[in-house]
Amino acid sequence: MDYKRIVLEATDVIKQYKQYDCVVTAVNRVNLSIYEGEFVAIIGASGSGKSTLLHICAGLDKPNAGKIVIRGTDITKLSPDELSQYRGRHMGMIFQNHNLIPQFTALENILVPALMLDKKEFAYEETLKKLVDTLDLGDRLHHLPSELSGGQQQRVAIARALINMPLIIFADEPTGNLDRANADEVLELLLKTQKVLGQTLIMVTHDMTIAEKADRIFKMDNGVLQPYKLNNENK
Amino acid sequence: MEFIFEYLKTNIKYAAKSVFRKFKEYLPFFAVLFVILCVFFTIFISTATNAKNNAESLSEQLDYDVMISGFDEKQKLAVERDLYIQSYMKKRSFESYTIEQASDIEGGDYRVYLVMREDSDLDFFVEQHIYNPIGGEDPDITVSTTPRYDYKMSSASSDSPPLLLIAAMCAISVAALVAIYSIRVNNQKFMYGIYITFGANLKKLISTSVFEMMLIAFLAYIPAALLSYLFSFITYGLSGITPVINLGIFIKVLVSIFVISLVGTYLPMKSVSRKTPLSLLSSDDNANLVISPSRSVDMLKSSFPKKYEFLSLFRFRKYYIKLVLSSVIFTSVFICGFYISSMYNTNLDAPIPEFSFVNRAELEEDEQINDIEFLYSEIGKIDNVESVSWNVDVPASRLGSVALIKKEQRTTSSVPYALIDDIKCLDEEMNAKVGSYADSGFVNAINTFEYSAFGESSVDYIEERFEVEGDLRSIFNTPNTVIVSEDVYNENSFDFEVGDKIIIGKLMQNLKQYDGDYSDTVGVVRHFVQSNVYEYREYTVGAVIKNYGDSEGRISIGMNYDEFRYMTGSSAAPSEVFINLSADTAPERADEISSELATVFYYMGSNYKLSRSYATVERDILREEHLNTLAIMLSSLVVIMSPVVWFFSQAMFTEKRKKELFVLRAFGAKEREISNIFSCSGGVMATVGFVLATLLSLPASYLIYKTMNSWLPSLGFIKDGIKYTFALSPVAIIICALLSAACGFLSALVPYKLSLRAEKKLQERINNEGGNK
Repeated sequence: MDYKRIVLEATDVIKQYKQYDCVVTAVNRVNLSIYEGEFVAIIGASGSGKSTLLHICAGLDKPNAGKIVIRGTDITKLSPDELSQYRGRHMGMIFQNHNLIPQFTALENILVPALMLDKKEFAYEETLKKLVDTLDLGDRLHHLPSELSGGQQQRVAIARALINMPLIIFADEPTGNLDRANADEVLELLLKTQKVLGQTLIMVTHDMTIAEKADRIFKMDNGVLQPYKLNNENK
Repeated sequence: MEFIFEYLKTNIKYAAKSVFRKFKEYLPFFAVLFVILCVFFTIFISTATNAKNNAESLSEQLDYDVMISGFDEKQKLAVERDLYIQSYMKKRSFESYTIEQASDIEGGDYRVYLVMREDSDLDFFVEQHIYNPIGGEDPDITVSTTPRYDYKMSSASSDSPPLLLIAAMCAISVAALVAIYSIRVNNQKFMYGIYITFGANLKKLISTSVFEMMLIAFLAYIPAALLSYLFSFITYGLSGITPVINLGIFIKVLVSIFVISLVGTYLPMKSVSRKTPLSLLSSDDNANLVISPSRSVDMLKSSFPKKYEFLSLFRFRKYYIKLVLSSVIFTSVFICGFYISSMYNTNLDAPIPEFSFVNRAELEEDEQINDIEFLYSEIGKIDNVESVSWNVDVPASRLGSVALIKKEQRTTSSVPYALIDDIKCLDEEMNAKVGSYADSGFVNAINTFEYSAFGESSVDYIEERFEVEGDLRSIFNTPNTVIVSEDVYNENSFDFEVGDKIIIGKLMQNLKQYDGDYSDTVGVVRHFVQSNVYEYREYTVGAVIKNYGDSEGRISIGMNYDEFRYMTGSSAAPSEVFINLSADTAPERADEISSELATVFYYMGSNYKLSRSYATVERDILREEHLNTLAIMLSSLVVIMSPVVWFFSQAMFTEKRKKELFVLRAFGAKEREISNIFSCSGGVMATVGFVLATLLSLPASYLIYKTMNSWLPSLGFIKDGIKYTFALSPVAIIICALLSAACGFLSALVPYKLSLRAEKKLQERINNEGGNK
């Protein structure tokens, strides 16, 4: 693989939660470098802190210590407004339970990121067309989320994440709520879109079959991140 | 331009989708914005109508701006010549003038009536075109401006409402919008979480919410305008006035609602934008959780649901506190509005002199007094003359006088006083005297009083108007007797009884100049007692005047003329006398009385100069402004916001508690018991809301009372001596109680009952569909 420059660098990231008298360290001094165009999978048991790490890298949560630098910008130092705008421009987020806005149609949900950045129609028209074609959403665009199947909803969520052509896509167990068939389909489309648009994809998953497809795998164990190598037993 | 159009089109489209797809959720916003629009329409319509009506009324009742009187024949000719020439000049100060003789009596004084231009300088005009032509200033010439002129020249002629009123209404409107928007944001955290996740910053969040609010405001705009104009037509129609309809009103309301929407959504959006998206996406308050399963089971065993709900009240205390606070604020404003309306009625009923005449007599003092007493009886015979009064007062501070009183005669420490028992006077004899007075209990020295000269007519006036203890005429029959008042700046500051003694010191000699700060009034009094030689005279209180309004900061110590002359060294003849007409006197009748008075004064010679305040015209106009009705109407509109906020909030809250209620049912709670949960919380909220609202409106109304009654007079902003009473309107409190009960109970119970009914319908539908299959 021809790796380009580092697109995301996490340095000494710590995240702790206080629960009554206990302090729970969800992310324990994590260091991570992601290269442009990579597909990185983060695996781990439930409660290992992998989603927390993903959220911190995506700027959805704040670490207690450490920094996250994306293409030279330390996002931990940005103000909430600057971070929002930065996230809108350079990051796409896919959640496990899609998180579509129920009163908006599929098309409107997809266009939320463009609306948040006040983009003109011509700026996203072509991307929208590509995504709709790639994700096969042509005949579902004007339906509400409640009228879509699970797989369709997740495809809409993927399109939403990609409409602004972000630098990095963060996916938190995107197939976690789907059945096998839908999960495979969604993953295939996601990877296809990622390759077509040349983005970096960081995915949290507990599914090894998905992780196998990644360029690199990391394992999160009690807040500690370690590179993970697949061997014959893991495959 | 294209970008702006695109921006507007996109945002309006999304706002419309949000609003119309879930209009039920936006209904409370519609209600609140509708009320706000009605408030602002009413304010702007009434201000514009009052301005137009005032200008028209004043023009109808008075066809001149300025009256200059007191010319003799020769002066009249000189002024007439000058004005005639001026009337051909383009840059003259007046539009028109007329010259008339004041009365039918031959040789009576002449008057010039002028309509002035708006950019004129009256002082300059009088100097150039009145005094110059007649050879210089003449004390016989009087210049009187009419309310029409004063109004024309003042900012009151503008059709914009007072800034303070607009600011207050904006603040209340913003508070209402913030309350209701915060509730919405709290219930839509997920949506805002998505927005922020995908790039929304504060500016974007605000513009999204402002577009939504403006869209709703547009929907409410026309109905609000129609309702406001309907109310205005009814209110003003009673006085035969047509409310003003102009584009300016509509634009001002539009701008106001835009500003309110912007500010009202700013705070909630700022709060949301500061949160991390994750906390918004995954936010889960404990509304859908029971406290803990085991505790719930325990609670279900004993005194459920009351004990359970009281614990829940504590659990959701932040929510309930905010809810009660919003209700308390709106209800307090409502009660205060009623109080302000009652103060306005007090103003309308207050006696204001329509005429006054200045005594310029060079007669002997006794002759002057006889003249005044004669005028008092003659003028009093004219129909519609309610009273003739005068004040002959000399402040004690001007004469260096002091009074020694007992501690129990002073009821407040806000009146400056000096304790004399520790003062060592410079003069030994004074020292001994002051010491003996102190031993007799006269330990407080004050100078917040004025000497007042009372004759028979003054006593008659006081007897008619005020509550009196004792015999006012004792000052004529019994030597060394005085009449006292007790109020300073309309506050009861002293407590005198008939028969009490007061020691008053007449300054004989000053041994040492005061070199301190004169704003230290206590220091000044101490210095007086210490450094002055006084002739102390003991007086007995013959009568006490209750509720004697004061805006000068002094009580009155009334004496007969001889005593007054002795103590003050001043003439007891009044320099100015006031004539009050009865409150229902029409301005036309006031015009007739003006002529009748001119005749009376003509025969008295040039000793007296009559001037007119046009109080009847002003009172007429004030009545037509219907400001008391407006105050009640605006405060009623404001209080409507309270139930809107309550119902909306409780509906959202009930929705959130659905899961909790399911769990309770799973633990065996009956439907009636769950209903009682809501009755319980509703009852507590209603009681707490009512009590707190009444308690808050007490100090709020009291603050308004103190400001208008005491503080503004003490700062010199109000000089009319009107004394207000403090009382909360029982009607307002009853309405407040009913509203709290309705809000508390109904807003808790109704959403739950409605949701239960919807649930049952859904269940029936499912059962039917299952049956059909």
